[in-house]
Formats: sequence, C-alpha cells, structure tokens
Amino acid sequence: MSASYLCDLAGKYRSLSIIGMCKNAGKTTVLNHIIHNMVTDERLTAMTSIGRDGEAVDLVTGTAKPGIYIYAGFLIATAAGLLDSCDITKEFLLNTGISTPLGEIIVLRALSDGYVQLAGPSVVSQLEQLTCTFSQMGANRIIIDGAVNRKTLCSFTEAAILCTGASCGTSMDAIIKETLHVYKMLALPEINDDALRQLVKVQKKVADKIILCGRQHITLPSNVNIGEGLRENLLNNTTHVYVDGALSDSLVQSLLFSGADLSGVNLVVSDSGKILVSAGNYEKLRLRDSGIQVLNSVNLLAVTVNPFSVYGNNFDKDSFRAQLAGQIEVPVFNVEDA
Amino acid sequence: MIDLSLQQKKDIGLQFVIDLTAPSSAYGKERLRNSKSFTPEQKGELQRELDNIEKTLLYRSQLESEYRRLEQIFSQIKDIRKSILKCQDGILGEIDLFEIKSFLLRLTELTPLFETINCRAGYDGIVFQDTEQALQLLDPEHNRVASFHISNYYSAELTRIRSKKRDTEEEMRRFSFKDIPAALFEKRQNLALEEEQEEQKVLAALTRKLEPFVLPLLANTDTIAELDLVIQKAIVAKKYHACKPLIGGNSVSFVDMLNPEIAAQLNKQDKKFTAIDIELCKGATVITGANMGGKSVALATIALNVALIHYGFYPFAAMAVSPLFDFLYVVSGNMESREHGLSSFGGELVSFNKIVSDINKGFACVFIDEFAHGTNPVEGTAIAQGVTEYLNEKNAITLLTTHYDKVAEYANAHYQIMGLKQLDLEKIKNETEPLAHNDRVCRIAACMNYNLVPADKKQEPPREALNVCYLLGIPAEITARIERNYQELARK
Repeated sequence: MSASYLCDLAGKYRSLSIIGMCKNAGKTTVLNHIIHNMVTDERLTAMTSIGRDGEAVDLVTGTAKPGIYIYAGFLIATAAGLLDSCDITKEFLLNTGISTPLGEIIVLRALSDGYVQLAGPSVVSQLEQLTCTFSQMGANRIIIDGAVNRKTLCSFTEAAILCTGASCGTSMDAIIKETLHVYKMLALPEINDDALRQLVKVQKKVADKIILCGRQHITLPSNVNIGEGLRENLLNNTTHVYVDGALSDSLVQSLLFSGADLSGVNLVVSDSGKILVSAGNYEKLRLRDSGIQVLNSVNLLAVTVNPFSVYGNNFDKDSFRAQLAGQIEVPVFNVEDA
Repeated sequence: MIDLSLQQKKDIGLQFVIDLTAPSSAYGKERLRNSKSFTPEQKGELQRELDNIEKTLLYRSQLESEYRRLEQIFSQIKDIRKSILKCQDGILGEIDLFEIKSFLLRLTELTPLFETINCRAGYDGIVFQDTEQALQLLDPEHNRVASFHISNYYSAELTRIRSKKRDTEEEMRRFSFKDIPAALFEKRQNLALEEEQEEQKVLAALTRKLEPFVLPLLANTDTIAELDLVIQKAIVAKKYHACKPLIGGNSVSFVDMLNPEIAAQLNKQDKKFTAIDIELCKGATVITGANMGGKSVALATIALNVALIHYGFYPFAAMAVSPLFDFLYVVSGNMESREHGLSSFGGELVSFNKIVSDINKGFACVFIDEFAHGTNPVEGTAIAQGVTEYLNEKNAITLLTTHYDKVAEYANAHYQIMGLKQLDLEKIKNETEPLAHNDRVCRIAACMNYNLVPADKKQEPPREALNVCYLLGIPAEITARIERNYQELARK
C-alpha cells in the first residue's frame, strides 16, 4: 500500500486530527508528509494543536525534533510565546482571547513556507471557538495536532490518524498491545439508536449515570453505584448504561466485582477520549458479554508506526508494521515510507 | 480622600452599586475597580463628571444607536498599555504592533462616532487625541485592515531577502517532502535568519517612529475609560431614578433617598423601601427608634449616598445636597473587629480613636451605628452621650444611631423612626393560632412605620422591645415575667 494513498485519504476530509500515542511517535513526520501533499490542492488549510506540540527540542527527552513545515497561505493558531520559533513570514490576524501558559493564542496567516511550533487550546469549548474562527476566515480544512491523552478533542474532527512508535514503551510486544488497545477504544462503535442518543442528551443534564432499556430509563443518584443499580435490577433487561465524564478503571472494577449480570449491557460514554480503562479490564468486560459504545466515534483512517526510538531500542520496521497490520482493520504505514 | 474598606463598602451598599455599574471596555473596568473619591480640592473635576453624566442622560435616548455602537466598540478594545509603554524602553514586537494597529483602527471608528454624539451632548473635557499618523506608520499600504505584517514596503533589503527565500521555497516544493535536499533546507534556513535580522531592524525603526505617539495613545485609553464610566454611571442613574446632586454648602440633605441593595432585597419579597428625607447640619444628629425600625438601614443609606457623591455617582434620591468632605468614617460593630481580635466594643473604640486623630485636620463626615451598644446600658449611655457631645462640637457632620436614653440631648438634632404605631396588642396577645416564624417577621414589617421624622431632642427613644417580643411570638409565660419587671421598674 503506497503512502500517497494515506495523503489522498487524509486530503478528503474537512477536519483531521493526528493522534500521537507518545512523544516521538513520528507524528510530525506524518504531518509534514500529509501537508506537503496538500500544497497543490485548492483548499485553505488551518492548523492548530491540542495543548503544546512541535517543539524544536523535545521537552521531555531533550532530543532534537523536526518542526512542522507549512506553506504560504496556511492559517495557524498558536501561543504568542512560540512565535519566535516560527520562521514563516507572519501576518497577524486575530487575538483569540484564549490564554495558555505560553501566552494568548494568536491566529496568523503564513505569508511564506516555513517551520512552525503549535500550541493550541486544551479545552473543547475553546477548540470549537477556534475552528469556528478558522471557518469564518475561509478555512475549509482543519488539521489538529493531537495527543492520545487528549483524545476527546480529536473526536471533534471528521477523521483521525493514530501514530505509534518504538519510543512508546519498552518492548515491541508491550507497544503493540497498548496500540491495539488504543485502536480498539478509538474504533468502538457509535450508538446508532437516535432515540436513545436523544434520551441520553436530555438526561445527562440531570444525572451523571443513566440506566437505559429501550425507551425506558432511570437516572442513578450519585451515591448509588452502577453495580448496585444493575444488581437490584432497577430496570429489567438493561441494554445500556450511560456514564457522563470519564469511564475509569475503578468504576469498571466495581462493576465487575458487584455481582451484577452484565450480559448484554453496553457501557456508553460520550467519546473514546473518556475511556480510561486498561486493556485487562476491557477484556474482562468482554468476557462478561458486556462492551463499551460511544455517542461520537472517531473515524480512524490509518495507523502509522515509527520503528526508531529516541531511547535507542529501534525495532525492525517490517516486522513492527506487519505485526500491527495483522490485527488492525485500517491500513498501517511505516513513517519511513511516508 | 475617602478610604473605605471593602467590608465597609459592602456594609453600606456601595459595593452593590459598583457591581451594578458595568463598563464595556477594559479601561473602564479598571477605572471603576480603582475608583478614587473626589477631594474638596477636586470639586471642579467632580462637577465636570456629574455634568457629563447629566449630558449622557439627556442624549442617550435621542442618540440610542450611536451610544450602543460606542459601547460595542468599547467592548472590543483590549488593554494594550503594556505594548504602548514598551515603545519607551524596548523594541516593539510584531504582536505589539498588531495590537497597537487594532487599537488605532478602533479609534478611527470611535472618533467620528464620538464627534457625532459630542456635537449634541457637548461633553466637558472628553477629547480624543489625533493618532492618524501613528496608524499610517502601521498601515503603510493604507489597507485599513485589522491585520499586521512587516510589509516589504518598510525595507528594500527585506524585499530582496524575501524574494530569494521565496525562490528557494518554490524549489523545495518540487520534491516530495522526504526527498528535499538538505542543502536547500540549509539555504532556506539561512535566508530565514537574514529575514529575521532585517525584520528586527524594521521593528526598531518603527518603535522609534511611534515613540512620539505614546502620550496621545495613553491619553486616548484614559478618555475611553472616562467616557465608558460616565455612560455606565448614567445608565445606573437612569435605572434607579438617581439625581444630580448639588455640591456645596455646610449641610447634607436628601429627599426621597433609597438604598438600592436593600430596595432590591425588599422588592423580591414584594415590599417597598421607605424613602428617607433627612438634613444633617454641622454637629451631631441622632436617630432613635424601635428595634427593627430601620435605624441602621437609614444610617447606611445616608452614608452610601454621601459616599456615592464623592465617587462621582448620582445619589439615589430625588434631591441631594452635600459638601465635599476631607474624611468619611463609618463605624459599626460588625465582624471586622472580631477578625482583629477585638470585641465589638473594642473595635468601635479603635475606629473612634482614628476619627479623633483626624477630626481636626479637615472637614469630616462621621457615621456611627449604635455606639457602645455591646456594653452595659448604664456605662453605654454615658459613653454614647460623651461621644455625641464631643462630635457635636467639632467641624464635622456626624450621624449616630442609638437606643440609649438622653443621647439626643447632647446632639444638635434628633430624628426618630415612627415605629410600631396603631398596634392592637390585645388582639395579638390573644391569638389562638400562633403564626409561622416568617409570617411573624412579616407582621412586624407590616406594623412598622419606617418613616424618619424630626423629633424634639428631649424625646426619649420608644419602649417597643416588649411589643416586638409579642409580635415575634415569645411565649406568654416569658412575656408575663417581663411585664412584671416593667411594672417594678415603673414603681421605682
């Protein structure tokens, strides 16, 4: 499968996020490659990052990092404190009023090609505000430089690419296992019953835990845990349990140990960014014939792998890619081939 | 100058009025936050502020859309004083220039709009400085667009470097990203460095050229703050039917005066604030009245309105006259004293000492709520009398409330709350179905006449504590004993 296929694929969407599993997962390389192929098309591309990314020197490991290379005409939103590290010719368009530790986020137009460092908003509402601003300025493609621990903001885009690499763990097995788990969480099915979605939308304003079956529902008081609610059969033949906010390991564990019949019960969260469940606990849920669904799914286009580790333990690029590709339904690319 | 603590501002309801006032611009908000009171020497400036509020009230309804647009522009103006000041001790960055340019563009919208308004309203002393030349510096191509970049127009050298850099970038674009030769990256990098150095030269030159505009720019931020605040003060004045005060004379006088915070609380309970008429002449004035009759509310309301005048607000009254004071004191046995490890009585004495140390230094206005009410009535009465007599002899206007006897005799004037008049006590005593607590409180409010009326200095405070006991439903077995004690007292 050729890498230009990835670019063609990515180019189709109005908004795209690139999610890095860890630092040095090769995200910037993927971004640079995709962006380079967008220069020739007619669309106006706008870019920002979730939180901070794109440093010249990696803040964690101290290794030199490539910058994001963008092209004249692109719009970017980044923190004022990073502007000295952007070597494009800049046109200042707007103060967003969004503050970050690196200063206010400013919207600029690139008047030349060049390297940029991006630090964007880290709150959904601010990201919404910013994408709205981009659209008003005529942008019809928005690329978000994302991170795996802020997946929530990535479900905001039409499509996403997941980047993993040898720097993400100690052994290839461990990294593949973790990547598969993240992939599974990103690929979780969207709840497809519109009436149910509507019900959750209304009820989540009054309670953070809702038990559902068909058109019936019960909201759980905050002092009652889900396990108790299910065990006491508050609603016969429960099909879904909606959890507002994070679905944590401890919540899943208490459910597993509650003795409630979980068979056929789907846990529902707003998006996969809310899932903080370990691979082990997710498998236990699956064994009990339970599962997780989301209100807003992520359209994952591809996974990229970076066989080089900044810590020294490089992997064989073909076997790394092949092992993942065998277990993942979307295309897997090696960043080196990108 | 008047220096009230935040707690005092809250106690008299001044903070409520400050919070009601909602300037649109960052500058107006800051000016409100750091409001300073006008001193007697600044009478002219205060008069100008009050005149400008009056003009706003006259023309804001006639020029509604102009004023609305003005407020809209104010709300879009950022505080850029840091950038402006950087002109004097550094080199402005691109963001600074971007912000200054945005501000200058807003001014080009603001100035003609203000001129339209000002033709009619004729504001006194509100003037915008002409900064058109500064804008021309930052908009050399005369685009009048609120974006900023270091234009090629500023430097031929910059144009040359950028054109070379552009050629290199075009060349790089011909490769796929990973195939771009390192030499091209390096060439571009060097040109980018050259560009940056040349841009720095342009920035330094622009900073020097903008320096003469620092003062006019800062003056314009002040003008925005002043105009914004004047408009907002007028809006509050209109909403609450406040009046333009007369500044001068030797006495404080209000007709139909309100306390908007308490009025708003009462309004929620479908009750009405009883407006206050009062005149305070030099010397001490004493207010007496029933428990729950509103003595402290009256005192706070007068203190509030005197303070408002000093802060350049319209007072909440139908008519108001007041001189400007050098000092304004509010003493009440509130929580503050406890925070400082003093009893309420100790706290009052500490505050009073402060008054004594200042009182010969200028013209003071003093408000004292129930002085020495926390100590025993025999000593408390003697203390309240002594303090009243002392203040009555000073070059000050003092208002005290008390429920102690014969304090008013030591003052210059006496006002009394009308209190619980026309009460059918027998009916209340014989009530079979006791009322709920809230209803009892409401009944007191219904029976209470909160009107403040001038009284003879010898007139004693009313004996209505027992009546309040009946009204609040204290059980008969207790009130019977209280009545017995009353009779014994009377026999003695």
